[in-house]
Amino acid sequence: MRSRVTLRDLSLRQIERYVGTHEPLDKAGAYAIQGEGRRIVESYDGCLANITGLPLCHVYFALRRVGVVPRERPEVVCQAHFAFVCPVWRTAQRQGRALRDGGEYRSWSDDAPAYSDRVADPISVLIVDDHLAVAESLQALLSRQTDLDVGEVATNGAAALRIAAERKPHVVLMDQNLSGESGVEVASKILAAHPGTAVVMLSGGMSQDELVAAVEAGVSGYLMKATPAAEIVKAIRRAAAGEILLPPDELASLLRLGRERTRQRDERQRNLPQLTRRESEVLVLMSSAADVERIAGELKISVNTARGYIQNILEKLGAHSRLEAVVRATELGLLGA
Amino acid sequence: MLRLASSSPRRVDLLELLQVPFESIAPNVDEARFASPARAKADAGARPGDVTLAADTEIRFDGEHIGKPADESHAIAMLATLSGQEHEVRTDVVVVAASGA
Repeated sequence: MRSRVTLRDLSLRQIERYVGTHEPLDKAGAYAIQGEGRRIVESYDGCLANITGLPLCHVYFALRRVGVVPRERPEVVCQAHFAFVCPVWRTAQRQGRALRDGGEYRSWSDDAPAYSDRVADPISVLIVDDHLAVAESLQALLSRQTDLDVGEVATNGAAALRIAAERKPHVVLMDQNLSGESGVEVASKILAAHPGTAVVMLSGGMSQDELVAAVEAGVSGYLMKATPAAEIVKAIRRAAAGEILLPPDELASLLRLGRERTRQRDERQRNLPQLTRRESEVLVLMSSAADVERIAGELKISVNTARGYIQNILEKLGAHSRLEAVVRATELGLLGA
Repeated sequence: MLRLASSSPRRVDLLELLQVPFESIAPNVDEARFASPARAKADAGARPGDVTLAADTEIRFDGEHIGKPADESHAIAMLATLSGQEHEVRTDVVVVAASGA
């Protein structure tokens, strides 16, 4: 694998300080883009992992071919660091090179050309936006690029899934809000069915929760709708090369936040209030706005007994009113879907 | 058992991310003698029944191959040459799965 790297214009003092704090020096390590090293690199293309001396995604696929690692993606790819060192995961998947059989050993060697000078097939792009006019103007805009192949656009999740299955696009440009449908959910379904696809979210602004969900779904990045056209084109090319468009520190913090949320959710699940069968029945009736007389009538119990159950429910849910109890119960998932 | 034919602490760290058990070995290979040092290292480390992984990173600047710095002042000179300049980094990965038990 090849990458082009440009170093910053460094003063001799900066160089001396850098060398003095980095031992041992080796070819890649002299300026590895890790920690401090990132400070001396101006820009790079291709794969960051290449520069760190072990392109993990390629290693992973090579090892998979010789049966050292299982076919499933290891858990670890969800970790920010891995995503960071492995931005060409998807490209590697597409490029998966054949194992040569023969002689006393089988060997796998990666001498694929750099992504930037690959005279590759055009990048196929699927545009998903519920506003047809927006989708079509993006289509017109992107079609001017000779290396992009923009086919039929999709205006809803179902169409997006259908076209994704038919065309297997390299990159999906996904509107975050598809009139009522969540673009992140559709993205997540597309990624589950076609792991080789890269999804870039387009949005007018995403909340932190939506960003966490998007990152956990495995999208490559997000762009604001106000992004200039040229930037969108660049982002599509980078995403097609398997790059993660989010800055590593943002990606890391979003993934951390996601893990924290999952932990809290599990915690809440463990501490769910335990309702008796009778209390659950009363709760269901409360949620259908039944008053205490009707609850008593439906369950063939006295009004006072029904009041007792309602009181218990309020206490267990820490609610001050029946309405609050129903809201809390819905939040906790006690009332079913 | 997977064998990593490299003693670079960075490569060891990176490979650990894959959560595959492996041992790190240091094959004695004179890199300058081989067109593909990664292949030479993998071959040197190969053992029947085991899979050996080797990698080699090369830096090219102005068409010239730039090797490892010999010492600190050489490292400084190297970085001073590269400062503000574009260069090429190429990493070869070779996996050898030797047959036989």
